Amino acid sequence: MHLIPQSWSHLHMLVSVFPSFGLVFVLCFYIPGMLTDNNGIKRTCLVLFAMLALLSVPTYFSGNGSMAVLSGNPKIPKDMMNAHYSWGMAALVALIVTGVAALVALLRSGRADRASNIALRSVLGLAIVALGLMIVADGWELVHRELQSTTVIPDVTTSPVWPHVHLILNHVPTVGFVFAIVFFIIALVANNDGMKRGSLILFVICSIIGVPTYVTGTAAMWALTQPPIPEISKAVINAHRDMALWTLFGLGFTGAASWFELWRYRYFGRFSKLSLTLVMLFAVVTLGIMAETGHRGGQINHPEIRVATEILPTDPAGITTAIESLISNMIWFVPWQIVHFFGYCLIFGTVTAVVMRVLGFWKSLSFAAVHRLLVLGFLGVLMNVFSGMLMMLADSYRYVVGDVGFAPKMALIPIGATAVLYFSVSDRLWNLKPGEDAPMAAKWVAAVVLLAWAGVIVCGRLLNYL
Amino acid sequence: MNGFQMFQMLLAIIAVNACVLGVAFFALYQLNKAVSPSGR
Repeated sequence: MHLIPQSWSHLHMLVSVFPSFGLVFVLCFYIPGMLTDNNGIKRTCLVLFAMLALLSVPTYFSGNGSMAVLSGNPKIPKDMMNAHYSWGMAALVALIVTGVAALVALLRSGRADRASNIALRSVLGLAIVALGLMIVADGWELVHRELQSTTVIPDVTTSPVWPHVHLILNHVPTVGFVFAIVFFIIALVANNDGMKRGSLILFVICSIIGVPTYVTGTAAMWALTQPPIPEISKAVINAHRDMALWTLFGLGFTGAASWFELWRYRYFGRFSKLSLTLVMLFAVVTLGIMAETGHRGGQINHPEIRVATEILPTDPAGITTAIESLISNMIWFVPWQIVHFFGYCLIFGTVTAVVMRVLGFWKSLSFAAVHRLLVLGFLGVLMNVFSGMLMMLADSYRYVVGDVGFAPKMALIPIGATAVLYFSVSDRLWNLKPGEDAPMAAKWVAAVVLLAWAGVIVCGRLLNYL
Repeated sequence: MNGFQMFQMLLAIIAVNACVLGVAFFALYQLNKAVSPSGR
């Protein structure tokens, strides 16, 4: 592994994801911080906006260096590179202005320890503009030419949408974990419970996104190998997949430990130091694994980041291929399929009970009474992520490419899981006494949860038939 | 699939599901006890 970049392109690829995805994550903290008037969160976010603005310097210079190197490459269209440069410059200017505004807001808050609402809203507006410009600047398509592939061989070609989605999704857990760890450390030092909860929620969301990231990665593998692309090595892909499997386990442990602590917090009103330490340990180890996974992923389709001394994997065998051949045997496939069905029973049973209470049935129960059940559904989710991953590996081409029901299923899982997270952490719902009606917003979330999980089951059952 | 293979699969179903559900319900028991020592 050489994580320290040895070329402008490598540095640009590493640095440029932080301002864009970083803005998303800082905004994810900043907006709730403004809504809940948590001064610690707001001030931390203002500092982070300023730090992201500083990253515009290495982003600009590494981008310029990459342009100089890649301008002679006939595979990269000049007009596309120029468009990326122009929009990228606009985005960096907007980012710098956001950073300066955040710094001014922070300094002006001075001894009062509180920034003015106008200043905070201005920073929010500027950050959204910068983020919008970064989305338009989109530099991925410059080197990922497979995304524009128009060659279609019926029953062979995999849609380029899959690798495109994978390229976007894989940055959510990786960059998200960096920001969640930063927030978590600050929360622990400042002993700010709101920030601790926010960090734990971000760990859970990143772990949830890990599931579609893994699945789209498998689809991306088919897009790059069937029909084969000359520069793409299956051995390099398999080395990336093996590490991605460890990442999925790491995300599972971190997400589960974080969710259990959020759930437990409800009953005690304080966090357990042991649990928080465990979350931190899992998160740091997972981030390390993700860094290596990302690096191996970069080696698949970025010849410009390779160094002469680096030896690429050549052995096509690995843990993933071993699991694939084992689980494709019916004797092992069927037991895990049954685990998957038990998992669905746990999830849907829990979701139905909780949703019914929120929608107004069983009003004689407090929400706290049904909150206890959530853990049962969460265990069902863990069972299904593990068994589902094994089943997908058994016949990944048929599931992810050949079956039209698989994509909506994968899209509905994060929606359903994130909405359930709302039930786990909502203060308004937790305080719902027997006989009281839930807020209208919670009822809408309940409807989304019920429809999403029903959709997951329907799409899952329709696999093989569509 | 012959009788022996079906028997093997049945054993695998019992073993895998007993292990997974056993771990899940043990975790449920422990977590429930953690938030309510009386178990109610």
